[in-house]
Amino acid sequence: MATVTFCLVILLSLAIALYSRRGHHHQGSRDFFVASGQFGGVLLFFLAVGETYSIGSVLGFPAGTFSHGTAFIIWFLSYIVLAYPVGYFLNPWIWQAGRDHNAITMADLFRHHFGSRAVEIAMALNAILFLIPFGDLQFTGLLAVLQGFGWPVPTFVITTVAAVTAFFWVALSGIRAPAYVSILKDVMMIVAVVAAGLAALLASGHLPDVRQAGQDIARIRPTGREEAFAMSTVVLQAIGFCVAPQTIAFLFTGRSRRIVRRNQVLMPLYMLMFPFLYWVADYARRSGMPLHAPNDAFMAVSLTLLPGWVDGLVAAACALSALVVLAGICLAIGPLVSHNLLHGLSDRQQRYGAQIVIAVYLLFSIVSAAHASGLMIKFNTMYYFGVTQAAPGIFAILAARAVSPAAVVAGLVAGDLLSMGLYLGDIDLGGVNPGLVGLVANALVLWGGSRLLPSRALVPILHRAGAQAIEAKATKGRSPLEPWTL
Amino acid sequence: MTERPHQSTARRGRDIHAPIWRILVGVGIPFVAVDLALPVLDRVGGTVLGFPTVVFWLFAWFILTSVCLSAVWFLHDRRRTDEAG
Repeated sequence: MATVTFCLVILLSLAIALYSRRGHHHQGSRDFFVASGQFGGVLLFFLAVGETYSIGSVLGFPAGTFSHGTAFIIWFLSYIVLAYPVGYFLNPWIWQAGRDHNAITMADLFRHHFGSRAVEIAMALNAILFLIPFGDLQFTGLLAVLQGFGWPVPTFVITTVAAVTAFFWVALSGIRAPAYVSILKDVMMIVAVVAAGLAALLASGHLPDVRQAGQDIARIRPTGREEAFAMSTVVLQAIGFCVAPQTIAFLFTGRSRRIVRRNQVLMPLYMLMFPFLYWVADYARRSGMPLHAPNDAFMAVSLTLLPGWVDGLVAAACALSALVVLAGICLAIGPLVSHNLLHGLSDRQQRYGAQIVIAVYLLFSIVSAAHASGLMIKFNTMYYFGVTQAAPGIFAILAARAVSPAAVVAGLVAGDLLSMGLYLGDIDLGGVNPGLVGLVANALVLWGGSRLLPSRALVPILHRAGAQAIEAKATKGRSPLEPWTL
Repeated sequence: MTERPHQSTARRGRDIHAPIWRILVGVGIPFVAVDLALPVLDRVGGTVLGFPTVVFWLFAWFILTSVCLSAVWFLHDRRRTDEAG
């Protein structure tokens, strides 16, 4: 029964992907990658949250809570909840920059604003490098879910079917497919998480109280070093969350700055699923159920406590989480290569070139997931070290008047090398996240370099918008509300 | 060599009262409550509604962060005329 339910949901997702193509049979590259900036509030909301809460959240949060208790919970939840206020003020202006420069990717912002091909290439390569492990991560999570069913299907068949499905979505209608399927995925995921959480909560009432034995999550306390790590990681990742290349690409699908800002108000409420995932981890820990790995906690609790057909829904929700994020990452990486790295391609060539890049990326991720590469795990840990290094450059685009393109590249390289060096060299700075150290170095190099090197005179996005609003005031006689403030 | 174009625009921008309270309410309060308060909350023992106190506090801020952003939105940003759509 679970298998039937699972297959029905996946078929439904394919039907939705087909529906998303309606009226967009002849897409240009801009429509393919960023939906021509036509998404309203609902689609943009589901695309954003759909891409935020991947299979890593559903499996990873209970696993981390199960293993590391509050030390894990505080940094994991804190950075996400603080990313929304940062995004409330930052994202509308990134959207504005994208609209001003007619951008498809984050690297476009740098090329058009600084007029520098070198900055564009540096930003594109940085984004691609740190996005690579995401595909591997999604396939690994998918295998953890589907292997829980005990299906007699080889793992390479599962990953290949998943990759073909993700490619099919993307090839059908570009960014519209994951956006539309995200609605199904999020509804399913909420249902699955709430069902598993409530079942765990009810079942916990029948468990013996093992708190005296020190087995409950509340007793796993963070050390001082872990607190320093949590506090610095929260700052780094709350910023990184907003400037990640795929997040920026999704912002460009929005119809207006107002929609982008308004959506941020509701997004923290989506996190109310985490108490349910906490109950799952709490049950797994207190019941002492045998697990092959902490990542199995969510599926093991679901399979133990829920009826068979609900298990199918839970597995389908997890699988959709992986596939939607996979499709989103593919659509972020594709144009970074075909649009930014390979200049001079026609609109049609950019679109087909991106599809070839996506196919190669999916193939690489399948092989990587099959071999459980330690290198990929290291790169995944360093994801936020790398993507956050775009932040000083983004802030410069929004607010700085005199910036040296060479300083932007130097800052990026300094930030990457320092944070990766600290991490790979196992150099501990009292628990402070190496990525944050790299980010500070990056900002200092950008600032110092722009003062020493020849800098271009630029009009920051905030001031452009201010000038436009003053012009509007003069012509229409209406008073804008401080448009140059964040 | 640096130039500073649109000086007049920037100066006019500073002349108009920038509503700093938006940043304080929208980012400042959640940041203090969630990040800076962590070392203090970590040392508070006990549980609230079955959750460790620090975890319950974070869960509460899912709602309270939305409340802070709602305040900024409804009291100010909703009326912005430069953000059509």
